[in-house]
Amino acid sequence: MSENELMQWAALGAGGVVGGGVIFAIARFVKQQNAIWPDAAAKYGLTYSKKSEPIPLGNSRDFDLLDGPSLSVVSMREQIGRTRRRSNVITARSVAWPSPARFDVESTRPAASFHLVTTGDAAFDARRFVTSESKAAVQAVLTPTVRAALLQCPQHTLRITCEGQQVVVSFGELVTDAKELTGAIDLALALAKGP
Amino acid sequence: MSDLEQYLDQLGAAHGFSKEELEANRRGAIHPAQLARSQRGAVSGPVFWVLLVVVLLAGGLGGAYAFVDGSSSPLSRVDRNALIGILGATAIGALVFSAVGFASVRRAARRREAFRAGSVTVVEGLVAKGGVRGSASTFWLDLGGKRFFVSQRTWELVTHGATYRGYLIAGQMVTFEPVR
Repeated sequence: MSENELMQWAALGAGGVVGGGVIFAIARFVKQQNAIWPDAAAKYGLTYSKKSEPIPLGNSRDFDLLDGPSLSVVSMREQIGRTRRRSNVITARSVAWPSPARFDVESTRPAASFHLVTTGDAAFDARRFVTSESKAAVQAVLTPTVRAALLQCPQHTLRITCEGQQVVVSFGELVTDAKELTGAIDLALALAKGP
Repeated sequence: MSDLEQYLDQLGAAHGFSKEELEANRRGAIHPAQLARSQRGAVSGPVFWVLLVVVLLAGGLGGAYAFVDGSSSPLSRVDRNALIGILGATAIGALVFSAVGFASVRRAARRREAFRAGSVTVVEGLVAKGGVRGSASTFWLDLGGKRFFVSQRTWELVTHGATYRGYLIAGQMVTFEPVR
Protein backbone atom coordinates (compact mmCIF):
# COMPACT_ATOMS: atom_id res chain seq x y z
CA MET A 1 0.00 0.00 0.00
CA SER A 2 1.44 3.35 -1.05
CA GLU A 3 1.85 6.25 1.36
CA ASN A 4 -0.88 8.08 -0.54
CA GLU A 5 -3.38 5.24 -0.09
CA LEU A 6 -2.47 5.00 3.58
CA MET A 7 -3.21 8.71 4.05
CA GLN A 8 -6.58 8.32 2.33
CA TRP A 9 -7.52 5.36 4.55
CA ALA A 10 -6.39 7.30 7.64
CA ALA A 11 -8.50 10.34 6.62
CA LEU A 12 -11.49 8.07 5.96
CA GLY A 13 -11.03 6.40 9.35
CA ALA A 14 -10.75 9.75 11.16
CA GLY A 15 -13.90 10.98 9.37
CA GLY A 16 -15.71 7.80 10.39
CA VAL A 17 -14.68 8.26 14.04
CA VAL A 18 -15.82 11.91 14.08
CA GLY A 19 -19.10 11.07 12.31
CA GLY A 20 -19.76 8.17 14.66
CA GLY A 21 -18.97 10.39 17.65
CA VAL A 22 -21.43 13.05 16.48
CA ILE A 23 -24.19 10.47 15.91
CA PHE A 24 -23.48 8.93 19.35
CA ALA A 25 -23.59 12.35 21.03
CA ILE A 26 -26.89 13.24 19.34
CA ALA A 27 -28.43 9.87 20.24
CA ARG A 28 -27.27 10.28 23.85
CA PHE A 29 -28.69 13.83 24.03
CA VAL A 30 -32.06 12.70 22.63
CA LYS A 31 -32.14 9.78 25.09
CA GLN A 32 -31.36 12.15 27.99
CA GLN A 33 -34.06 14.58 26.84
CA ASN A 34 -36.66 11.82 26.56
CA ALA A 35 -35.76 10.54 30.02
CA ILE A 36 -36.10 13.90 31.86
CA TRP A 37 -39.86 13.70 32.46
CA PRO A 38 -40.26 9.94 33.16
CA ASP A 39 -37.22 10.05 35.49
CA ALA A 40 -38.66 13.00 37.42
CA ALA A 41 -42.02 11.20 37.66
CA ALA A 42 -40.29 8.14 39.10
CA LYS A 43 -38.16 10.20 41.50
CA TYR A 44 -41.10 12.10 43.03
CA GLY A 45 -43.79 9.37 42.73
CA LEU A 46 -45.82 11.28 40.16
CA THR A 47 -47.73 10.21 37.06
CA TYR A 48 -46.30 11.36 33.75
CA SER A 49 -48.42 12.08 30.68
CA LYS A 50 -48.17 14.02 27.43
CA LYS A 51 -50.87 15.99 25.68
CA SER A 52 -51.07 17.81 22.35
CA GLU A 53 -53.62 20.38 21.26
CA PRO A 54 -53.83 20.87 17.52
CA ILE A 55 -53.90 24.48 16.37
CA PRO A 56 -54.85 25.24 12.74
CA LEU A 57 -52.27 26.16 10.08
CA GLY A 58 -49.56 23.81 11.26
CA ASN A 59 -49.21 25.38 14.71
CA SER A 60 -48.99 23.31 17.86
CA ARG A 61 -49.34 23.33 21.62
CA ASP A 62 -47.75 20.42 23.50
CA PHE A 63 -47.78 19.61 27.18
CA ASP A 64 -45.68 17.45 29.49
CA LEU A 65 -47.60 16.80 32.68
CA LEU A 66 -46.60 15.39 36.05
CA ASP A 67 -49.38 14.77 38.50
CA GLY A 68 -49.50 13.66 42.11
CA PRO A 69 -51.62 14.09 45.23
CA SER A 70 -49.82 17.20 46.48
CA LEU A 71 -47.74 18.34 43.51
CA SER A 72 -48.31 18.90 39.81
CA VAL A 73 -46.17 20.17 36.94
CA VAL A 74 -47.50 21.57 33.67
CA SER A 75 -44.95 22.27 30.97
CA MET A 76 -46.30 23.92 27.82
CA ARG A 77 -44.60 24.47 24.47
CA GLU A 78 -46.52 26.50 21.93
CA GLN A 79 -45.60 27.47 18.42
CA ILE A 80 -47.84 29.87 16.54
CA GLY A 81 -46.21 31.10 13.36
CA ARG A 82 -42.75 32.26 14.31
CA THR A 83 -43.74 32.92 17.92
CA ARG A 84 -42.76 30.32 20.49
CA ARG A 85 -44.00 30.30 24.06
CA ARG A 86 -42.70 28.11 26.83
CA SER A 87 -44.05 27.92 30.33
CA ASN A 88 -43.47 25.57 33.22
CA VAL A 89 -45.71 25.78 36.26
CA ILE A 90 -45.15 23.72 39.40
CA THR A 91 -47.95 23.80 41.94
CA ALA A 92 -47.54 22.25 45.39
CA ARG A 93 -49.95 22.02 48.30
CA SER A 94 -48.38 23.81 51.25
CA VAL A 95 -48.91 25.05 54.75
CA ALA A 96 -51.34 27.96 55.04
CA TRP A 97 -49.63 31.28 54.36
CA PRO A 98 -50.60 34.10 56.74
CA SER A 99 -50.03 36.68 54.00
CA PRO A 100 -49.33 36.17 50.30
CA ALA A 101 -45.72 36.36 49.15
CA ARG A 102 -45.09 36.94 45.44
CA PHE A 103 -41.55 37.29 44.26
CA ASP A 104 -39.18 36.87 41.34
CA VAL A 105 -35.71 35.39 41.71
CA GLU A 106 -33.14 36.25 39.06
CA SER A 107 -29.52 35.30 38.60
CA THR A 108 -28.58 38.80 37.38
CA ARG A 109 -29.02 42.06 39.25
CA PRO A 110 -32.33 43.72 38.26
CA ALA A 111 -32.39 47.12 36.55
CA ALA A 112 -34.03 48.73 39.60
CA SER A 113 -33.28 48.03 43.24
CA PHE A 114 -36.47 49.56 44.67
CA HIS A 115 -38.17 46.19 45.22
CA LEU A 116 -34.95 44.27 45.86
CA VAL A 117 -35.20 42.02 48.92
CA THR A 118 -32.04 41.10 50.77
CA THR A 119 -31.88 38.10 53.06
CA GLY A 120 -28.79 38.93 55.09
CA ASP A 121 -27.09 35.84 53.68
CA ALA A 122 -24.25 37.50 51.74
CA ALA A 123 -23.41 34.38 49.71
CA PHE A 124 -27.03 34.06 48.58
CA ASP A 125 -27.61 37.77 47.99
CA ALA A 126 -24.56 37.90 45.72
CA ARG A 127 -25.82 35.07 43.52
CA ARG A 128 -29.59 35.46 43.48
CA PHE A 129 -31.64 38.68 43.30
CA VAL A 130 -35.10 38.61 44.82
CA THR A 131 -37.66 41.29 43.98
CA SER A 132 -41.00 41.79 45.69
CA GLU A 133 -43.11 44.51 47.25
CA SER A 134 -43.86 42.42 50.33
CA LYS A 135 -40.31 42.34 51.68
CA ALA A 136 -41.07 41.08 55.18
CA ALA A 137 -43.27 38.23 53.94
CA VAL A 138 -40.66 37.18 51.40
CA GLN A 139 -37.82 37.37 53.91
CA ALA A 140 -39.80 34.99 56.13
CA VAL A 141 -40.26 32.58 53.21
CA LEU A 142 -36.59 32.55 52.28
CA THR A 143 -35.41 30.10 54.94
CA PRO A 144 -31.92 28.54 54.67
CA THR A 145 -33.51 25.42 53.11
CA VAL A 146 -35.34 27.51 50.51
CA ARG A 147 -32.21 29.56 49.77
CA ALA A 148 -30.19 26.37 49.28
CA ALA A 149 -32.90 25.02 46.95
CA LEU A 150 -32.90 28.29 45.00
CA LEU A 151 -29.14 28.11 44.51
CA GLN A 152 -29.58 24.67 42.96
CA CYS A 153 -31.96 26.05 40.31
CA PRO A 154 -30.09 26.96 37.12
CA GLN A 155 -32.92 29.09 35.65
CA HIS A 156 -32.28 32.76 34.97
CA THR A 157 -35.68 33.79 36.32
CA LEU A 158 -38.06 32.00 38.65
CA ARG A 159 -41.47 33.40 39.57
CA ILE A 160 -42.83 32.29 42.94
CA THR A 161 -46.19 32.76 44.62
CA CYS A 162 -47.01 31.51 48.11
CA GLU A 163 -50.68 32.14 48.73
CA GLY A 164 -53.55 30.40 50.49
CA GLN A 165 -52.42 26.82 50.91
CA GLN A 166 -50.31 26.47 47.83
CA VAL A 167 -46.97 27.33 46.31
CA VAL A 168 -46.53 28.06 42.61
CA VAL A 169 -43.08 28.08 41.03
CA SER A 170 -42.89 29.01 37.35
CA PHE A 171 -40.29 29.69 34.70
CA GLY A 172 -40.26 30.25 30.99
CA GLU A 173 -37.41 28.31 29.48
CA LEU A 174 -37.67 24.96 27.74
CA VAL A 175 -36.52 22.18 30.06
CA THR A 176 -33.37 20.73 28.46
CA ASP A 177 -31.58 19.60 31.61
CA ALA A 178 -32.98 17.38 34.36
CA LYS A 179 -31.61 19.83 36.98
CA GLU A 180 -33.95 22.56 35.73
CA LEU A 181 -36.95 20.38 36.47
CA THR A 182 -35.80 18.62 39.63
CA GLY A 183 -34.31 21.86 41.01
CA ALA A 184 -37.63 23.67 40.60
CA ILE A 185 -39.61 20.74 42.07
CA ASP A 186 -37.24 20.56 45.07
CA LEU A 187 -37.70 24.30 45.50
CA ALA A 188 -41.52 23.97 45.45
CA LEU A 189 -41.31 21.15 48.03
CA ALA A 190 -38.96 23.21 50.24
CA LEU A 191 -41.32 26.19 50.04
CA ALA A 192 -44.36 24.00 50.75
CA LYS A 193 -43.00 23.17 54.21
CA GLY A 194 -43.39 26.84 55.17
CA PRO A 195 -41.14 29.08 57.22
CA MET B 1 -32.75 61.26 47.42
CA SER B 2 -34.99 58.48 48.74
CA ASP B 3 -35.21 55.02 47.15
CA LEU B 4 -38.69 55.87 45.85
CA GLU B 5 -37.54 59.12 44.23
CA GLN B 6 -34.63 57.30 42.59
CA TYR B 7 -37.00 54.64 41.30
CA LEU B 8 -39.44 57.25 39.96
CA ASP B 9 -36.52 58.92 38.16
CA GLN B 10 -35.64 55.58 36.55
CA LEU B 11 -39.25 54.89 35.56
CA GLY B 12 -39.65 58.42 34.20
CA ALA B 13 -36.46 58.22 32.14
CA ALA B 14 -37.50 54.88 30.67
CA HIS B 15 -41.19 55.61 30.07
CA GLY B 16 -40.80 59.28 29.19
CA PHE B 17 -42.29 61.34 31.99
CA SER B 18 -41.03 63.82 34.55
CA LYS B 19 -41.81 64.07 38.26
CA GLU B 20 -43.76 67.25 37.55
CA GLU B 21 -45.95 65.40 35.07
CA LEU B 22 -46.51 62.60 37.58
CA GLU B 23 -47.41 65.15 40.24
CA ALA B 24 -49.92 66.82 37.90
CA ASN B 25 -51.49 63.45 37.04
CA ARG B 26 -51.77 62.58 40.75
CA ARG B 27 -53.88 65.74 41.11
CA GLY B 28 -55.99 64.62 38.14
CA ALA B 29 -54.56 67.26 35.82
CA ILE B 30 -52.78 66.99 32.48
CA HIS B 31 -49.34 68.61 32.49
CA PRO B 32 -48.77 71.14 29.66
CA ALA B 33 -45.72 69.15 28.49
CA GLN B 34 -47.87 66.02 28.12
CA LEU B 35 -50.43 67.96 26.11
CA ALA B 36 -47.72 69.45 23.88
CA ARG B 37 -46.19 66.00 23.30
CA SER B 38 -49.55 64.50 22.43
CA GLN B 39 -50.18 67.12 19.72
CA ARG B 40 -46.93 66.31 17.87
CA GLY B 41 -47.22 64.81 14.42
CA ALA B 42 -50.24 66.93 13.41
CA VAL B 43 -48.29 68.13 10.35
CA SER B 44 -45.54 65.49 9.90
CA GLY B 45 -48.01 62.57 9.78
CA PRO B 46 -50.08 63.78 6.79
CA VAL B 47 -46.91 65.12 5.08
CA PHE B 48 -45.28 61.68 5.33
CA TRP B 49 -48.21 59.93 3.67
CA VAL B 50 -48.66 62.58 0.96
CA LEU B 51 -44.93 62.37 0.13
CA LEU B 52 -45.13 58.57 0.02
CA VAL B 53 -48.02 58.66 -2.47
CA VAL B 54 -46.31 61.38 -4.54
CA VAL B 55 -43.10 59.32 -4.71
CA LEU B 56 -45.11 56.23 -5.68
CA LEU B 57 -46.97 58.12 -8.42
CA ALA B 58 -43.77 59.76 -9.66
CA GLY B 59 -42.02 56.38 -9.76
CA GLY B 60 -44.91 54.64 -11.54
CA LEU B 61 -45.64 57.42 -14.05
CA GLY B 62 -41.94 58.11 -14.61
CA GLY B 63 -41.36 54.39 -15.18
CA ALA B 64 -44.29 54.25 -17.62
CA TYR B 65 -42.94 57.28 -19.51
CA ALA B 66 -39.44 55.75 -19.68
CA PHE B 67 -40.96 52.48 -20.89
CA VAL B 68 -42.96 54.18 -23.69
CA ASP B 69 -39.97 56.35 -24.62
CA GLY B 70 -37.72 53.29 -24.98
CA SER B 71 -40.24 51.20 -26.96
CA SER B 72 -40.84 51.16 -30.69
CA SER B 73 -43.68 53.32 -31.98
CA PRO B 74 -46.46 52.30 -32.34
CA LEU B 75 -46.45 50.09 -29.22
CA SER B 76 -46.69 46.38 -29.79
CA ARG B 77 -49.54 44.50 -28.13
CA VAL B 78 -47.16 43.04 -25.50
CA ASP B 79 -45.73 46.49 -24.69
CA ARG B 80 -49.23 47.94 -24.45
CA ASN B 81 -50.20 45.25 -21.93
CA ALA B 82 -47.01 45.92 -19.94
CA LEU B 83 -47.82 49.66 -19.92
CA ILE B 84 -51.35 48.96 -18.71
CA GLY B 85 -49.82 46.75 -15.99
CA ILE B 86 -47.43 49.51 -14.84
CA LEU B 87 -50.16 52.17 -14.77
CA GLY B 88 -52.64 49.82 -13.09
CA ALA B 89 -50.15 48.84 -10.37
CA THR B 90 -49.29 52.51 -9.81
CA ALA B 91 -52.97 53.44 -9.49
CA ILE B 92 -53.74 50.55 -7.13
CA GLY B 93 -50.61 51.25 -5.03
CA ALA B 94 -51.48 54.97 -4.82
CA LEU B 95 -55.07 54.19 -3.82
CA VAL B 96 -54.03 51.63 -1.17
CA PHE B 97 -51.37 53.90 0.37
CA SER B 98 -53.77 56.86 0.26
CA ALA B 99 -56.42 54.84 2.10
CA VAL B 100 -53.94 53.54 4.69
CA GLY B 101 -52.47 57.02 5.14
CA PHE B 102 -55.90 58.63 5.46
CA ALA B 103 -56.95 56.09 8.10
CA SER B 104 -53.67 56.55 10.00
CA VAL B 105 -53.92 60.36 9.93
CA ARG B 106 -57.55 60.24 11.06
CA ARG B 107 -56.68 57.84 13.87
CA ALA B 108 -53.83 60.09 15.04
CA ALA B 109 -56.11 63.15 14.86
CA ARG B 110 -58.77 61.38 16.93
CA ARG B 111 -56.09 60.44 19.48
CA ARG B 112 -54.88 64.04 19.69
CA GLU B 113 -58.45 65.25 20.09
CA ALA B 114 -59.15 62.65 22.79
CA PHE B 115 -56.01 63.77 24.61
CA ARG B 116 -57.06 67.45 24.46
CA ALA B 117 -60.57 66.69 25.68
CA GLY B 118 -59.57 63.86 28.00
CA SER B 119 -59.11 63.66 31.73
CA VAL B 120 -56.78 61.60 33.88
CA THR B 121 -58.13 58.22 34.94
CA VAL B 122 -56.39 55.95 37.40
CA VAL B 123 -55.81 52.19 37.31
CA GLU B 124 -54.29 50.35 40.23
CA GLY B 125 -53.42 46.77 41.03
CA LEU B 126 -50.89 44.00 40.83
CA VAL B 127 -48.78 44.15 37.69
CA ALA B 128 -48.37 41.04 35.57
CA LYS B 129 -45.47 41.28 33.15
CA GLY B 130 -45.62 39.54 29.81
CA GLY B 131 -43.52 39.56 26.71
CA VAL B 132 -42.38 37.88 23.55
CA ARG B 133 -38.69 37.86 22.78
CA GLY B 134 -37.27 37.35 19.31
CA SER B 135 -37.02 39.24 16.06
CA ALA B 136 -40.15 41.25 16.91
CA SER B 137 -39.88 41.58 20.69
CA THR B 138 -42.95 42.91 22.48
CA PHE B 139 -43.25 43.71 26.16
CA TRP B 140 -46.40 44.49 28.08
CA LEU B 141 -47.75 45.14 31.55
CA ASP B 142 -51.22 44.01 32.61
CA LEU B 143 -52.54 46.45 35.17
CA GLY B 144 -56.08 47.00 36.39
CA GLY B 145 -57.57 44.75 33.70
CA LYS B 146 -55.84 46.64 30.87
CA ARG B 147 -52.77 45.79 28.80
CA PHE B 148 -50.11 48.43 28.20
CA PHE B 149 -47.30 47.89 25.71
CA VAL B 150 -44.05 49.36 26.96
CA SER B 151 -40.39 49.53 25.98
CA GLN B 152 -38.06 46.76 27.14
CA ARG B 153 -36.29 49.32 29.37
CA THR B 154 -39.53 50.21 31.17
CA TRP B 155 -40.52 46.54 31.38
CA GLU B 156 -37.24 45.58 33.04
CA LEU B 157 -37.72 48.24 35.73
CA VAL B 158 -41.15 46.98 36.77
CA THR B 159 -41.52 44.27 39.40
CA HIS B 160 -43.91 41.47 38.53
CA GLY B 161 -46.58 40.97 41.17
CA ALA B 162 -46.04 44.38 42.80
CA THR B 163 -48.78 46.99 43.12
CA TYR B 164 -48.60 49.96 40.79
CA ARG B 165 -50.84 52.90 40.03
CA GLY B 166 -51.09 54.04 36.43
CA TYR B 167 -52.42 57.40 35.22
CA LEU B 168 -54.18 57.23 31.86
CA ILE B 169 -55.08 59.91 29.38
CA ALA B 170 -57.11 58.82 26.33
CA GLY B 171 -56.29 55.20 27.15
CA GLN B 172 -52.53 55.74 27.23
CA MET B 173 -50.63 55.11 30.45
CA VAL B 174 -48.66 58.36 30.54
CA THR B 175 -47.23 58.03 34.04
CA PHE B 176 -47.14 55.33 36.69
CA GLU B 177 -45.68 54.64 40.10
CA PRO B 178 -45.34 51.89 42.66
CA VAL B 179 -47.92 51.96 45.42
CA ARG B 180 -45.74 50.14 47.93
